[in-house]
Amino acid sequence: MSSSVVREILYPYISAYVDNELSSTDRSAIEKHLKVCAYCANERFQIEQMKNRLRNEFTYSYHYGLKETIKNKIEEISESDVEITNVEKNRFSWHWASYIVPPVVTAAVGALLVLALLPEYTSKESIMEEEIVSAHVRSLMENNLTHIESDGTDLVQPWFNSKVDFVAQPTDLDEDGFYLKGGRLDYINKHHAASIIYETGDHIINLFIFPTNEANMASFKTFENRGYNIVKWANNGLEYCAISDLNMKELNRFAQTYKNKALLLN
Amino acid sequence: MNKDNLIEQFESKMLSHMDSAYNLARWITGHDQDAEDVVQEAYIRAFRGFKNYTDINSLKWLLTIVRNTSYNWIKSKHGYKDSIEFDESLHSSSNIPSSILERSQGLRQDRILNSRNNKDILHSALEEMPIIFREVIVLHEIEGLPYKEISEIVDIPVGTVMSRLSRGRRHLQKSLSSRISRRSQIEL
Repeated sequence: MSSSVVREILYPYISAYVDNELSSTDRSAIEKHLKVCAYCANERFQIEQMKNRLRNEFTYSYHYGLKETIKNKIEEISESDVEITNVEKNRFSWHWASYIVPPVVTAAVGALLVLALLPEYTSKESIMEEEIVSAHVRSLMENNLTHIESDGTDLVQPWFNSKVDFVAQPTDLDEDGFYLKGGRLDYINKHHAASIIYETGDHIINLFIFPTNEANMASFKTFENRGYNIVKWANNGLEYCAISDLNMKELNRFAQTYKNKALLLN
Repeated sequence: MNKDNLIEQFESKMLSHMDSAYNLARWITGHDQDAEDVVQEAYIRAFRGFKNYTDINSLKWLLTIVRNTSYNWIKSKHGYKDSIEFDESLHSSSNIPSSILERSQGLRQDRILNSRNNKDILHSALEEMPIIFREVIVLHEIEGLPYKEISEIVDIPVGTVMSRLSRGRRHLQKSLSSRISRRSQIEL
């Protein structure tokens, strides 16, 4: 029988022997040893027993709806990547309607809709919040942060112009300590979204901009979700959502600075 | 490749691996809902990169993404906690008492393992094992992947896969042994 030190050295080899992962030389050496060492032969037996148990009984199964959800998401992404021209069509139809429908009627219908859909709106808002967090987390994964990487507003702005049908305004915030890193196209709330990416210290800020039907929201709304801070506001039919792991005070300062400077540029 | 072809090819190549993807995410994150979220996110990432990877080993590629997404998920949800970090000195095999390896004890374990109740004991022992061991055990024992593929998914040398698996097995046996003896004491 081998000493305890030798057993410890041999154990990984016995384990790999059971897995059929040893070179032929090591394999025949272990085979010889197993014939003469009852202790190690028992180790082999234990490993095989455990192996059988694990293989047969420890698989988790997903909820039956997951596959459909994934298929739908893939369809959505595919739409957002490929069919930008559809947005043009929708925009045209809204413009046409606004000429025909008297503004007072539009306002009354709008107010009724807001009242009727208030509870649903709340849940939609939290769904959108989730989407924002997921998009932010996705963007932080390897090589996914920027589609155009540049610290020049003059490069990032035209890139967005060719991708979305609204103005996504990258603004130079260098002197405030927020450095432009680039831009990315995303898909939030069933709309194309522009994301302008800034960096401050070790923190990344995604500023998502996408069309909204919400009225202007001059004051900032703040949220915390999954450890990320979110500051949002709306202006001229566009919603702005800044998200980061930066502390809320600094993220508010970012939002305020961006908003002021972007206003000046317009 | 047009859009419909791309989706069709992606679905036929990748959706068949959903069992493995979910199983790995579930074992790493430890929660049903987290695993579903991770799998969704992983599939979205895979789809975005699919055009460039159409000729690769699709299961290995998907599981690599699932693993990375799971780790990012845990970090963003819990920060860097003990579940990810691993203290070599605390878990080295030399700290495992040799008494658990005695033949008599081993045979007793086998009998106990064969009863239905003890499936739960083994399950919770695996669940509570440090992630770095748990993931190789899951990839090898449950998903049946060879060392070479595990080394590429986890991004460690093949020799490290071999040592993590053997230490994981030791860890599992030790944990089982202490759970079983605890239960025997309660029953007495």
